[in-house]
Amino acid sequence: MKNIYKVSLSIFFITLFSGCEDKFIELNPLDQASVGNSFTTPDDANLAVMGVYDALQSGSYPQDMAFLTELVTDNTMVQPTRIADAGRGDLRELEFFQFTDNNSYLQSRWSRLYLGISRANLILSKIDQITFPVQTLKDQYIGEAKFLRALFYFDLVRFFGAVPLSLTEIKSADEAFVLKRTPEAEVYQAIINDLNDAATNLPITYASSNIGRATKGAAKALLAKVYLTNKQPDLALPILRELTKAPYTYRLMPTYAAAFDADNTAEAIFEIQYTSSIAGEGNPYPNFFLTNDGTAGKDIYGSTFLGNTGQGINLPTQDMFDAYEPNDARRTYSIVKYFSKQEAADVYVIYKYRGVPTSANNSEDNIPVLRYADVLLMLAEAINETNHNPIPEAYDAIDLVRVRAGLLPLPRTLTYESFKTKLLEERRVELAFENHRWFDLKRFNKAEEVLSAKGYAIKPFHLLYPIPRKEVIINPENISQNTGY
Amino acid sequence: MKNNYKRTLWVFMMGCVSHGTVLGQQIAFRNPDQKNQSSSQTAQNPDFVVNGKVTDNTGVGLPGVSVLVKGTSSGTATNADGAFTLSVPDQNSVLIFSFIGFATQEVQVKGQSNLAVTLMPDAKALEEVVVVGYGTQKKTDVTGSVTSISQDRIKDLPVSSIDQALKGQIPGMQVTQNTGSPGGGVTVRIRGNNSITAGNDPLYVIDGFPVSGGGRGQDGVPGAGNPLNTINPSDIESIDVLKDASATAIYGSRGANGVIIITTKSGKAGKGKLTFDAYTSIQQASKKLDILSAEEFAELHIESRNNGWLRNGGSPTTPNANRGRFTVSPIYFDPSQWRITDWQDEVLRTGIIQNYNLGATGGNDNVRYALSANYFENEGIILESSLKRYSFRANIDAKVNEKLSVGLRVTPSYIVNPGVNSDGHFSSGGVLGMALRMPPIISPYLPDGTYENPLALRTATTLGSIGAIDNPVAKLKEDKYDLDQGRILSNIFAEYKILDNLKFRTSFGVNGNFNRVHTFLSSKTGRAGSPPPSVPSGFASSSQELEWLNENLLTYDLDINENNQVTVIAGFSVQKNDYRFIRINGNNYPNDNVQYVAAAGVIESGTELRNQSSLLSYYGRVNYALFDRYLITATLRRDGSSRFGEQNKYGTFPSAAIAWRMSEENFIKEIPFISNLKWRLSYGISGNNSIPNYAYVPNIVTNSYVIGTGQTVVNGINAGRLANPYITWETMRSINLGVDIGILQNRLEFAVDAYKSNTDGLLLDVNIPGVSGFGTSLENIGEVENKGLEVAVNSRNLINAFKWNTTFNISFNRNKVISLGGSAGDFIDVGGSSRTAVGRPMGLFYTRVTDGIFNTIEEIKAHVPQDNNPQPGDRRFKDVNNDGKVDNNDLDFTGDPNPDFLVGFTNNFSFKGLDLNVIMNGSYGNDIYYQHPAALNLNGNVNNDFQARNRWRSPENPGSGNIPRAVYGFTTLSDVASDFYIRDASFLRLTNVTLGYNIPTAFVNKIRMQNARVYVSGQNLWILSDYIGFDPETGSGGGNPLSQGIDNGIYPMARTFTLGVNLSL
Repeated sequence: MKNIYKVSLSIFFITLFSGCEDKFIELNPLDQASVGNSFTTPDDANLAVMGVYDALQSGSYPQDMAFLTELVTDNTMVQPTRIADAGRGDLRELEFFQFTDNNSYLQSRWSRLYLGISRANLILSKIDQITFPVQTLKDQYIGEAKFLRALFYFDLVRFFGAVPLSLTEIKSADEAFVLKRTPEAEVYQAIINDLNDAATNLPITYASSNIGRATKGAAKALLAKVYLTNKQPDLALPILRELTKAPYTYRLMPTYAAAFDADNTAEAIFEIQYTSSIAGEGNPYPNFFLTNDGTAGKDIYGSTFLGNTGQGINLPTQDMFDAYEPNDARRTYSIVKYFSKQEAADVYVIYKYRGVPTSANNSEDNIPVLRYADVLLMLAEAINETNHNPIPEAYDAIDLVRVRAGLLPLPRTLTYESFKTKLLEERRVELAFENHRWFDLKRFNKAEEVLSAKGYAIKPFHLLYPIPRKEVIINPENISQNTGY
Repeated sequence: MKNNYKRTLWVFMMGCVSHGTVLGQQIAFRNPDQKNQSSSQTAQNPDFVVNGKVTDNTGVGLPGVSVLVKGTSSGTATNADGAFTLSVPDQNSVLIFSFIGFATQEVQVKGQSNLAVTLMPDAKALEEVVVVGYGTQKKTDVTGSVTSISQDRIKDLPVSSIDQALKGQIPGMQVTQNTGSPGGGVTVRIRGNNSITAGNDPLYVIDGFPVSGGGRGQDGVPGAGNPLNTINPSDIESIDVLKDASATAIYGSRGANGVIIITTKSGKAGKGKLTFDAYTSIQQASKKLDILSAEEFAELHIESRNNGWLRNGGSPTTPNANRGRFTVSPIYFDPSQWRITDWQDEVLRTGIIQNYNLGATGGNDNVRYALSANYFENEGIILESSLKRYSFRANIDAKVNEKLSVGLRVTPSYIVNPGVNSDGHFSSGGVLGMALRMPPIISPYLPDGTYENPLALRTATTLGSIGAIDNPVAKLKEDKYDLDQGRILSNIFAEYKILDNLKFRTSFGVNGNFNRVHTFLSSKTGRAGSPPPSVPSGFASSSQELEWLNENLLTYDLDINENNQVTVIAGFSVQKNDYRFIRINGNNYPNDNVQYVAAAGVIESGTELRNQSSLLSYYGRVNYALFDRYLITATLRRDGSSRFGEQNKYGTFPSAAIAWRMSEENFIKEIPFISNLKWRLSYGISGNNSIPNYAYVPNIVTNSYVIGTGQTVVNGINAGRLANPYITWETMRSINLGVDIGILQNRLEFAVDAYKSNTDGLLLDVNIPGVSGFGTSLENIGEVENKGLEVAVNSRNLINAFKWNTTFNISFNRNKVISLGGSAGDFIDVGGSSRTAVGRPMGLFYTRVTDGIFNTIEEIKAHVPQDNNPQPGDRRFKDVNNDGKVDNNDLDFTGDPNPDFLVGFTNNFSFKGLDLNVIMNGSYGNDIYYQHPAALNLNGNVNNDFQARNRWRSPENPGSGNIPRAVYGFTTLSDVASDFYIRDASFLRLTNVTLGYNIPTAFVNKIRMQNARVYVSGQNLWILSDYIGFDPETGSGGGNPLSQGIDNGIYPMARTFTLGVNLSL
């Protein structure tokens, strides 16, 4: 009996240690924050909003955008002697309309856009748990996140058509697997809702320390573009007219050069911000767009150019060079011709982003997303589309842009169709290398016509890029492939 | 008189048969009265001298038997013939004869001046004890698959860490030395690779303390940081390797890769013993590679330029000087300018090992101690590489009273380990790769004694466009990769006898591990292909790992009756690990004078990390023996781990085993030659928790954007991954069937085990929809199977004066990937030459397939287009995928780095004072990708290995038919990964030969010592292998199961000659 007592006592003793067991094995990371404890102050919200902007700026975002909107069209091409290089198969596919669902740039574009969306969703899902002393600041953060989310979805829906729509934080892989492709109309509606909210919440301007953040004007300009793309020019028109008047202060810079030589000018509506002062925060375009040519950078920009070996993956075509009317001041600013030793011939190089990098891939220039010249051209487009006729207001808008470039106003004799054609050409040269060409061709329903005529093997199904193969393979029940692929 | 004595003993023993002593002709017992008698009569007749001889039961004299006068500390030991002479206090003194493996015997002198004593083998001592998790068991009672190695099997080996000594000794365990560098890592695999990402290292349990095996904190010091370096091999009493789930499941979520239990020596009651062991070794590289001589290199260089020029469309009549980059520099035509150098000799040297070990053991019934101090030093066979270890140990056991005993194990050690960047491709700094490729026509030093600068000679006028190889001697002498490691492992315990058969044991242990790394890249060495002077840079880092453990264990022996014996253990333990790391990077040091970060012109960056893990466990085991022949073992462990997601915090790991000692059955007992026959069957579940800390937490990482008119960089944050609350251990289910057979009084013993283990829930990155914002997520998915067969044979061939023991083991393991989790794809490629695919073993070689050499243009035209636009003399590859062209998609499985079988073969001989120990080990059927040790790129930019002599020169002179021509400046694909470079790495190695001699006791006693032994040994004396690299074993490199067997130029294994001495007094 005594033994049994001792045995039980021992067992009791040994289990006594286990009092606080669950706490003992619950350890939180010490040198890293976690989603659970990172959203408590307004400053945290600001950090998370900056994280959404970062999705625009870092990784492969800028160059992928150029490949899918410029390289694929008649604007640019891969450096001829470098197109067969190892690892350039995906660029080759884009240049010759042979792209498949396995194209890495499509996967990376899809991933980067949803990366931005997930960051926006995260702060939008967490912001209500943060106490803000000033409501306007909270509104602003919500507005910025929604503006950026709309921008990402707008790119997605234009590239891929119906895409999965998620407007809340995705917390686990399971939640991601159940999302189906959402019809385009619903995606557009979500974009419009976000932009309306953003336009309501965002300020018209910022103090100088916050210049570069999304503004009310940016949300409206993007909304107008969404309406135009969504064949609702009548809805775009009042918004665009609004942007030309007070309280907005947008204006064309006196010269085309002045619009790019400085960042965040009066013409800028929304730009991806870069600085060369810190490696990794600079614009990679000059290195990507330069020929792969040894000392080409020094030849063009002078001996200070760093990262001499360009990638040679986005050179203007002859057709692009020829698209400018004679005496167009924009050509000499945007394109430079020089003799390439590698090509043993003259080649064209994009000269618009000419900020000399302080280290390889780190140039100063911002990349414009929305610019007042774009608004003026959209205004002309909205008028022409709404009235089915270019009334004088439309000519006035487009001529502002033309005259600044040193060209004559358009003869006021154009029909709806011919004005539309002229408008597309004007957009091509005014907005060259700003990642608009593919979207413009599609919006004007001219992609097949224009590109086929120039020998591109475009087929109707190419208007939507294929959904990246991985997304279909891992989730065949919910993600179907676009037709033609 | 003598007969009466015997009879008395018999009668006495009958009464205490329960003590289980086996009776022989003479036996020992304790007479409580004798003690008093002898002590009371001390001091009379001090000069009575007793002579005698001690023999074993076969009549052979036993040397080294301890003879002690009872109740005193005076005594002696028998000489080589078993004879002794001792002065005793009086004629009635009692002498105690003790010798390991024999029953201790007390003999009353009773006035005899000449004693004949026969010692009987001690049945209990013969009955081997096996250390299992949380206790020990008689070997006959073990139901699982456990292999024990006692210290005499691993002594005398000049190794810095004990794992190196286990090569070939344990069936089912593959010990691969990744590098010959002092203190370099060793890969230990028990029964194959079970995991893809979570590690395959076994769990090491040192005196009851489970320590993490994976070397952590070496922070950029190449080939260093093996955690077992910190343990002095001569402190080790035994090593027990637990292999099947029945044995390992008691370690739950850490048991899946097998468990290695290391037990250190503890003191024994008796006369104190002071031991001194020392050895010194010299080492040499066991092999030098055959590479081209200066003349041959010059010829290759010239040929490559000429062929390149023609290939480039040049005319054969163009003068050499006008051929642009194909112009051959004058030096190649003028041997008088050459300073011929064997670069292997320049980086290799004779290595030296010194080891000194001082130990003291002893004690009485109440306090026992074992203390040791050790100094080990190894100057490696590559310049500047070395290891020094200072280590100490104190093992103390004390009985407080009849119920309570306490003990302490403390092991501080400190290692100084300046490393060298010896391994890997020269472009990442591997000096061996540099030495093998360096043009043999320049030397490391200029005539003025400064370093030659090969990187600066890469101009058309001196050496031409040779490879961007730095001077390896300068790299070795000027660049620093210093690692200091301190470890203190200590454990204090108390054991309380609650009842005679119920013990409670509690222990508290601390494992502190402190590493410091200091690196410095000198101004005298090049950087990234640019010649010196360079801007000096370096970093300092420090890591600290503190781990504490508390174990509480109840052991209950319930012998219900003679036929039903039950032992139950139940335990509870908590363990917590706290790891901190800090690093500072410096740059722009003004010069090489001060090489610490304090002198850096710019402190570039730094980081501080900290992470913790904790483990909380309950465990229990029941052993039940019925009729002493049916044995049942059941274990259960429940582990809660901080690493697991909240949905899977706890894992339960059960196992069960049964064994049938068939030899105890009467129908077997009738078969005279079978002395032991035991069947074992086990099944169990164990886990692998070596997953990253906090992997389930959706972490926040920082990013940055630019804002404001001033374009200021501002911080941002984003989630680094998705939450995964289900992350948990990898689970292994394994079954083991074994049989132990002993024949002819166990003169011949066999142990055969067959097993099959399936590990599922492998932690893999799984593709998830991009809409989540992430491309992949870490999930428990995927499955790997290992099955195999192990046979161990132990034979005592000769047991008389001339003794000869043989052990042999052979093990077969077959590894197969069952699943990689579907959405992760059906394969994982690593490093461009290895593919792990479903349905195949891990890490197969996946390369192009060669098809000889194109001899003529016609042959090229007849072949499908090949992606390098070949010309005659270039390699021909097979169009594996039959798509009408040869390119990077034409890859096939061309080799398997996993061995078909491993063998170990040991022979021990002893005769009188001489002993000879011969160990061999081998591996059969594994392949190595001979990647980089000596290139065969044939572009004339770097030196090539001997195979280049057989290169294609013309259709009439095609060489050996599988080596392309030399050509510079074009992609000839001569060194692209292909089946040509997949080589058989089977080997049989003479791992160790030791010849020892015990100096005759008579002489030893004169110099007041108990024992003295000298020995000579040689390691790695001979190898049977077709492999052309340095070593078929070092080449199997790295612990990553997905890229095994890649020889990219690794610190060669040494051949070692040792002279040693063991003294005890």
